Amino acid sequence: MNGLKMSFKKIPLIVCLCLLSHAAQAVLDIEITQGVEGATPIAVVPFGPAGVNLPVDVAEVIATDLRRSGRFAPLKRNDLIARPYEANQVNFKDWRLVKSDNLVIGKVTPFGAGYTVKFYLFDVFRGVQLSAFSLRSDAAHLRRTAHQIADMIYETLTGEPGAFATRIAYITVTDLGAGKRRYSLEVADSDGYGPRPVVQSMQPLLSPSWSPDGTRLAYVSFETKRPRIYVQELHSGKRQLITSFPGINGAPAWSPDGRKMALVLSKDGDPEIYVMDLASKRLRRLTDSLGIDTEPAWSPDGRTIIFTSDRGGTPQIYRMSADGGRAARVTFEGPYNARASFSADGHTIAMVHGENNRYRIAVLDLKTGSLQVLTDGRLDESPSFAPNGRMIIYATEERNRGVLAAVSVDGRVKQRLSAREGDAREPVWAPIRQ
Amino acid sequence: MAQEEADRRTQAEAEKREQELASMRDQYRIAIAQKVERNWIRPPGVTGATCKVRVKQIPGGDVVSVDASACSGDPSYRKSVEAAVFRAAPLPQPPDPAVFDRDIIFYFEPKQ
Repeated sequence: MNGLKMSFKKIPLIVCLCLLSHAAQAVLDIEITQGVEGATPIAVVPFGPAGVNLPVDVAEVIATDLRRSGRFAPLKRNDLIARPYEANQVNFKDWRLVKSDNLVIGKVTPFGAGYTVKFYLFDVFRGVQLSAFSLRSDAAHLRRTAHQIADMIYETLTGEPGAFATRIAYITVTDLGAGKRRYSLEVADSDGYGPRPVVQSMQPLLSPSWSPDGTRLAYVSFETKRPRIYVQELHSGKRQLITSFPGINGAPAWSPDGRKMALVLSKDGDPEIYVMDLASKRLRRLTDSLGIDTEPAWSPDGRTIIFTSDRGGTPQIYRMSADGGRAARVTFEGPYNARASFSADGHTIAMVHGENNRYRIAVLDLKTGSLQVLTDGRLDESPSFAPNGRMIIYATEERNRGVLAAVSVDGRVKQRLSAREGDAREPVWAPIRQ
Repeated sequence: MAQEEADRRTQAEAEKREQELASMRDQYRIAIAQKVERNWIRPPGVTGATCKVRVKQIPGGDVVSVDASACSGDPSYRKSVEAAVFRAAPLPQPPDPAVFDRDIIFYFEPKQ
């Protein structure tokens, strides 16, 4: 028994030595320290079979979504060297040749009054399928299906949820001539397609804010010639008056738990930040300064509120506990920082950063204090993070017209969003649908 | 005497050959590193992640397998590292067949 134990002990030792000497001799150790930061190439082949007449180019919607994120570089259509739409038509050699890391193919088949959309995602170099799904859709929802597929691809390849199948809200202003303007609060897909008016008015509409469950919007309306804050249910159109105090009623911001609303009132003098308990309508005043305090925004954990204040001479961002107390200044770079909002992880805030008469979108890393300017417009405004924190939507100017644009959080990729007539402003990204 | 001289010469030649091989091995290493670095597209905003990647190649430089399981960082970072090796294939030819190795271990440690 004892002898047996001994010999068992010896064997592994000998094996170990062999492996070590083998490793020392026959493995090439190579250190890699340089690489180019960039977007990952991906091929998105037009969904087949050719000849099926679809109201939406599904592959184009997917490719545009992926490009907008800044993390993927879809190949140009002309560079697609084959048009497979079934898994068995894929020849990985083709796609290795064009150095595309990943390949997306798909097929749309009529099904009842709608379609079945099937897609496959492949790892080209390994020659394996990473995912495949079938989704039911119809003509009216084909764009949405494409966004959902883009989300699934994004999540499979990055490990983070996508935010393409989400919505945005914003205000449009249309000049009707004779001094008349039509204001419209609209909701559209995250790429700007499919806008639907929520409310329209001949008097200004301002400051839309999503409820955390994405079912309601708060906004300011001047329809009675004086500002009032309303909350409107998207599904039913039903709405509720929240405040109509004398003076300013502005900048509503829903708390992350949906129970409270931060807002700006001037009923006691200067514009100050208040928090309203939505069930009891009880108000609590948060700020008390000589200057203007406005544009409150909640941290994702609901404990902190950041806001814009000119108490120090110029507009800067301050933070304070949502229960009140002292405010601490957050921004120190540049003469103008305003309209801040938090990323979903609470580590970063986006804001309008003004310097030399240019107003651009910047992000501030709250841990390191480093500020990075992301956009290069003259009058960029109203930044709002995507729910996954990877993109920021904002309003900018193009030929004297207000348009919406999205920028990746590293500032590398900017894309104009589709827009109809009129000036678009104050975009806000909806939370991910529950 | 003659035998000793001959031995010494053989010994010197062997040492010289050993040095040549070592220097060619370094050349080979650098050539492979440069090709992989040219093909490495790092996901934006990822810093401080490191990967140890085991790669098998065959003569001719075609890559047979890439194992990047020993990797810190998110999935997109790991994928970028794998893709860098695959994209770099075929890997450069060794200056001398004697320094060819089927097994390569890459240490991805980005420096800013």
